Order: sequence, then structure tokens, then C-alpha cells
Amino acid sequence: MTAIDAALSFNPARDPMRLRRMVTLGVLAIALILALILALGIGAVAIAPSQVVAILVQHLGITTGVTFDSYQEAALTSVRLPRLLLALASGATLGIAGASLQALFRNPLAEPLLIGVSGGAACGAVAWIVFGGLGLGLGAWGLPFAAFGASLIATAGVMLGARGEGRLDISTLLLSGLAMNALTSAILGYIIYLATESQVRALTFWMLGSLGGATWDAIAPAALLMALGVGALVLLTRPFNALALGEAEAGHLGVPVERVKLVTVVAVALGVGASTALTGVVGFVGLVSPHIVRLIGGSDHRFVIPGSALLGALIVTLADVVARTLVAPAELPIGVVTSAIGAPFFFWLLRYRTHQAVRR
Amino acid sequence: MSLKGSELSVRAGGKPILRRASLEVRPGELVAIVGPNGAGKSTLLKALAGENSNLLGSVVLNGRALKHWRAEEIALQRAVLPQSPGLAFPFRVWDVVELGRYPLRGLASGDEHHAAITGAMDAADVTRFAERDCRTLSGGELHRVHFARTLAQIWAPLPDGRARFLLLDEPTAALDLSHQHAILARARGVASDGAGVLVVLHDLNLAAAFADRVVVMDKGGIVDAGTPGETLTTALIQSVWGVETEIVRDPATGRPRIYVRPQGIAKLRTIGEARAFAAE
Amino acid sequence: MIRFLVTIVTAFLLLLGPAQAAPHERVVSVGGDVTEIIYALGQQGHLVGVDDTSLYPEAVHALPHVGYLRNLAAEGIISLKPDLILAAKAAGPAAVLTQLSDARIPLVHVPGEDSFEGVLAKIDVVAKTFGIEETGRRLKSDLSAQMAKVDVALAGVTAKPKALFLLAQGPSGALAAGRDTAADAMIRLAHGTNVAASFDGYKPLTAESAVALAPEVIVVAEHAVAMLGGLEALKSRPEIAITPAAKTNRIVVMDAQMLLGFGPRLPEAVTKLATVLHPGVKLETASAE
Repeated sequence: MTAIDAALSFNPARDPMRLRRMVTLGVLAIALILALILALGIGAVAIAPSQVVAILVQHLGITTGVTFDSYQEAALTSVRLPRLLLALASGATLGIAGASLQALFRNPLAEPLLIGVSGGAACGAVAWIVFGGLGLGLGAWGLPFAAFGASLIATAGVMLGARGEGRLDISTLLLSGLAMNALTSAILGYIIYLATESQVRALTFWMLGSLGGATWDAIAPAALLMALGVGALVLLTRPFNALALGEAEAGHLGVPVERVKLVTVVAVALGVGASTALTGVVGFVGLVSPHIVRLIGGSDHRFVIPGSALLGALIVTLADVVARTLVAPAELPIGVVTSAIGAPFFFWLLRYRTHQAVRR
Repeated sequence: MSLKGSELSVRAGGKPILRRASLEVRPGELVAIVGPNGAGKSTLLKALAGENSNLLGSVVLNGRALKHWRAEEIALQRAVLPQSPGLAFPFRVWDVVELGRYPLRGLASGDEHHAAITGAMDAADVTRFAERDCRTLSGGELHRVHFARTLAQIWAPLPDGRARFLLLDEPTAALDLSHQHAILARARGVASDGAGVLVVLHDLNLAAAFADRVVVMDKGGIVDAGTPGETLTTALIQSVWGVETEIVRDPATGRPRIYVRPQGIAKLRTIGEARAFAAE
Repeated sequence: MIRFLVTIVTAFLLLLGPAQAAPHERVVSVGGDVTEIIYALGQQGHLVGVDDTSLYPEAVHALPHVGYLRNLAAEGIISLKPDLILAAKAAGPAAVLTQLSDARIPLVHVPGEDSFEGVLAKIDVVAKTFGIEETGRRLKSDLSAQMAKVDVALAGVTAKPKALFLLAQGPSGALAAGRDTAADAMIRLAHGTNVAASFDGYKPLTAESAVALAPEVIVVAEHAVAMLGGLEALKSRPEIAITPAAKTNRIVVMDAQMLLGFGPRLPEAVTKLATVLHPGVKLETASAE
């Protein structure tokens, strides 16, 4: 039963919590729409809301009395719209990826960073840029695929390292992820050492994260890959719930545990790889979103997964608004903004919440 | 139709922890496994649940080897309550019990699911916690919530008539006196309803009071099996537990009642004796 | 068919091009060298924005800044409503340039080698863009005359002192400029030998490599001195103190933008560096204007 089926068979008198969850999702969706309107209107180029609407509908062939100049149109259609779509796609992907990894590891502190997904993606993308993959003629598909491929290799390596007696042990997996991260950062460092001065400048900025590179050509393939990964994870909400009981208990409930783990890892690598390839490393979204959602409406993944997608998209959209307005007409790296919000949250979490959340 | 383990052996760390144990649980009966610490009770239960990957011997569920069933089909036919169930995230009680319905998704209507969940919560006496966060419950209360989950999983007879089984690993360990009896009475009810129930117990009196058959284990093997009256004798208890007991028949039920003689508990030294022993 | 139409339309626009040669009233300059050339050509009145590497002359600081030249942000540039972007070769990232071309803002690249000829080529491009070829020619002949003076003064000098140019990445250590860097080109222009020419690009300087390189003169970028904790702190670093240059106290601090920019101040920069490398030679102090 998916979240939609659940919503259709819903009777609020039976389950007050479900009402609260549906209201939360509704509020998040409305907040996201408001944030989108805000993000479309705010930026170095001033565009009034009425002008935003006028420009958008003009592309549908409707003319309005509202006037706007060509710079406003260019800023909206060539820069802000693709950028906003990238914010939505990568934010939702990071939120869902974080929630999924937390479900898989049965640990609320899991992040794509932990199992080497981000490190691998970073290695792949950096190698692609430095070793001239851009010249191979694969166009916009090359970079996200390179990032996905490398993150999958890294993640597969971690899983092989952690596989003992035919089973995948979660604590060993976390430790293998730690080792893999050490390895990927060493590879990353070596590639950067080989890079030219100008490539290093480009790479450092990319590693801090930025949505500034969103062009229509680049986001289409990456968004497709992200959609594939997210689509697979959305189907796993009930198995994720069962996994919270433990792997053996999930198995007793009929969950094909090994298959769920494999699909999750591949789907997360796909989503995070494609997202990282375009935006660079945007940290903490995958940690913060599921947590806040859980605090509001509990841990049922039929709620946590869509909630994390909405909240992740909201956070990245707003963080990008901050990133491109704070020092306009120049821009801040978005990773700096999300980390500035996320890192204190992480500390608070470590200090006050983990001892409750991981009680077994 | 039954859940049947034959010649089950498990080794851990090079040592056998289960040796050639054979056990069959039939629909409608409650079988209790008893034995001292480390006798292999939980290992046997886990082996029958299909949890051990390095298991020798065969487990047959309703006429087909366990490994030839698909995981979701097994889940329709038997539920397992582990000794210490975990919970990684702060779920509500309702959410946890609802998880028991996972194998039946798409096979039952919304009303049937709802009836099973509320019924199971009533049976485990956790209805008043339904909206509470599981982290706010005591260990015993949480254990009952998980018991309710396993009840919800095998709540109704299967349409094709296949037998259901319920495996409970020390379900009474964390419970107070009244809930110990309530939970076993409920397990009895499940058996009367046509399911086979296997329970690991420490308390011989509880086993004697509720079980149709008692399986006594010691050092990884099955020592004896039969009705409580047949198996729970002073001689057997003396040889397995090393405790002297006196056994009387309950006038109402005819089942044995075991009283331990205080002078019979001689195995543990007093602190003074231990100190003297260590000084030697 | 579409391709054919595009070709037709493009051809049409090209025909229209010279006719509507707009006077470029709102220009964003990306690259310190490009900005300096715009000033040298007297076109600064058209500037509405510059990048962060545009540090000279002092007046540029009053203009809006659009970020570091390799990390431009499209919308910031669009917000200045430019009708032209003049961009150095290193401008980027590529995605932002794509966004700007999607926004149909004309962008003219100002390429140029790290050489005197490169500077002249850059002046040609900028002057042509503004339609002031004559002014451009005057600037070029002026600069050529200055360069000629330096060449004459250095003509008889046969010594090629071993020089090392240092930048800083952070407070942790100095970076030496190797082959294929602007610093390498400058050292050769000033009749010196770049001791670090055995490697490509900028690499961290270690105590061991400093011994092997044995530079007679060390030139340090101004901002690097500040980053490494001042000139005295720099001189006491083991990898610096060990060099002949430190022992004879021939460590000079120079403005990196002037030295490495390869803009209209090149003759002045070569003169200054040559003065440092060849203290015995009499050189007139050239000036850019």
C-alpha cells in the first residue's frame, strides 16, 4: 500500500496521527510553493511577482499587460528556472537519500557521506573534469554518469568489504564506509594535485557546492537519473518500516532484506551521484530533513520519505536564495549556507537526541 | 501440516550449540521449550524460524522445506517474537503493531487490517498506549507491543487452510506476574484457534500450566519431551538443573506444580565462601 | 530544415551586425588585464561592473563586483544589464557562460598569450570592440616604445640570475611558480632564469627542493607575504632561510597583479623585475601612462 492508497482509505477518527501527517505534508507542500514563488522573484535582477507570471505565461503563448524587459526575461528563463528545478530535484533527492540510508542503517545519523556515496561521486566528477572527460562528446550525460559510476564502485566496494558469512552487517558497513571515505579523499587529493591551477580553482568551488551551473542542457539528464533513484526508494517505504525492527525481524515479516538493501544502495548512489555531479557537495540536507520530519509526525516512512523530499527541496531552495542574494551580484557557495545551518543542528542532535533515538 | 525440524545442528565458534535436535509443532498445540541457561533453547527456536545460515538439518513448514518457501509466504504462515526486539526509530505503538500486517498488504481489506490491529492490541493489553511513542514505554510494555505485532501478523486463519505458527522466545521474561499469565493464556488461545505455538520459557510452573507438550533441553540437545506430567519429574529436574524439587498435582487441572526445596539450591557459594575459595 | 533556417537567420544577423554596431554603453569586464586595457583606452566610462581580479586602477573598486573570474554568477551579471561582456580567457565556469549566451548577452573573449605580443593582441580585440582602433594603435606604439627601452638597456647583459617566484595558498606554505606560468614568462622577459622550470604550474616549495633550486633572487607576491605572516616570518621559514637569496637578502615583494597580469603595465612590470634581477644595470622607470 503506497502513501496514496493509505490516504484514500483514510478515516481521521481512527487515526489522529495520520491526520497530523497529512496536514504536515500539505503545509510542507504549500511552503514549498511559496518558496518557489519567492525564489523566482528574488535575485540580483529585480522581478516583480506580476512580471514573473507575465514572463512564464508568455512562454505558453499568453500575453499580458504587464511589461518587463529582456534582462528580466533572460534572468528568469535562462538562469532562475533551471536553477530552481535543480534545487527542487537535488533537494528532494538528498532528503530521500538521507532518510533511506537512515532506514537502511537503522541509525538516525546516517548520511550519504557515510557509506562513501558522496566521496565516490566527488571522485568520479573530479576525475571526469581533470582527465578531460568533458572532451569525450558525451555532453551533459557524461558528468552525472561518471559521478554515479564512481559512487557505485565505492559503495559496492564498501558492501563487499562488509559482507561476512553471506550477510551484510550494518555496523561493519559503517566502518567500511569510513575506510572508503579515507580512500576517496586520498584519491581526490591526488587528482587535485595533478590538476592545473585553473582546474583546482574550479574544483574547490564545486566541492563547496553551487547551483550556479544549472543550464537547461545539463539538468535534463541529471534530473532523469535522480528521478530513477528516487522512484525506486519511494517504493520501499514499508520495507524501511519493517527494517526498523531489525534485519531478522524484517525477514520474519516477509521483507526480502538483502534485495531491499541492494536496491537502496544502488538507488541512493544513482540519486546522490547525479545530484552531486551538478551541484557539488551540498551537506547536511540528508541529515536535517528526515529528522525534522520525524520530530513532527513520527517515524513511519510512508510519511518520512515524502516529507523529507518536500523539506529537502524547501531547504535547498531557500538556501540557494540566501546564497545568491547575500553578496549580490556575486554568489556564495550553497554548501557553505547549508553547512552553516546543518552543522549546529548536527551538534544539537549529537548532544540531545541520539541517546533517545537509537535506544533499542 | 506442521512446523518440523529434523536433526538440527548449529556450531558457533567451533563448538556445537545445538546437536541433532528434532522437534515438531502441530496446529492447535502449545509446545514449551525449557532448560537451563545455555541449553540451546533460543538457538532451536531461531533454527525453526530460519534465522541460522549455518544450520545443518532440515526445517519443513507445512509440507515444504523452509528454504523453498518465499520469504513473504513464510511470513503469512508464521510470526516470530524475538527475545529482545529492537526499534531503530521512535515509532508509535500503533505503527509497530501495524507492521505485523506487512505480509498481508493487498491480501486483506482496510477493515480487516484495522480489526486485526485493534484486536491484537486488546489481546496484548496495549490499547491504551496506541498513540504513545514506543520510547516512553517500559521494557515489559514494549515487549507486549511486539507480542501484539506478532498476533496481528497471524490474526486470521489463512484462506487456503494452511496452518499458522507463532514462535515466542522468552515472552514472559520482562513481564509482571499478571501479564506473564495473560500473555501465555493468549498464546494458548491462539493454539485453540488452530495455530501451532512454540514458546521458550524459564519458569517451569508456567510451562507446566500452559503447555500441551514440554521439551526439555540441556547442553544443546533435547533431553526429554512429552506432556508436562510425563517430563517434569523430580528426577529429570534434579539431573538437568541440579535442583531438588517437590512436585504436586494441581487438583483442578491435574497439571504438575513444582516447588523448589531451599536446601536443594547448593550450587552458588556465599560471598564469604567465595572469598575463602579465592584466598586458597 | 531547422538547421537550414538557423543558418539563414544567423547569416541575416551577421549582415545586420555592423549596421547596428551598438556603442556598447554598459560593459562588464572580467579579468584584471581586460579592465586595465579598458582604462588605458579611456573607455572606463562604459564599465558597469568588473570581476574580483580587477584591482587596478584604484577607481575600479567603486564599481560593482561580479565575483572571481573563474566563478562568475550569471544572474549577478545580468542584473547589471550589460550590453557586452568582455572576458579574459580564464573566465568561467563554462555553465555560467552558457547561461549568459542563453540570455543573449553578447560576450567577447579577449584571449592572449603571456607575452608582450599577447598584450598587443588583447588591446587589438578591446579597441576593435569599442570601434576605437586608432586609439588602440597609439597605445600599442606607446607600449612598444617602452618595451624597446627595456630591451636596449638589457641588450648587453649576459647574466641570467636564478630567480624563484612565490605565491601562497594559505598560511601553511609557499607555492613556487614552475613552467607555463605567467611568472615564468615574466622572469624570462626580464632576462632571468626560472629555477623552478623543471615542473608545470604551481607546486608547494619544500626545504629540500629549495636547496636544490638554489635561487639567487626570490620574488614574492604581495598578498602571499601577508598570508605567510609578514616578510620577517617568511624569511625565517626553513625553506626560504636556506636559499642563497635569503643569505644575500635578495627577497623582493611585488604586486602580483601588475607583475602577472599581462596588461598595459607590462613594460613597467618588466622594468621593475629587471631592476631587481640586474641591480647593476641602469634602467629608466617606465610608466604605463
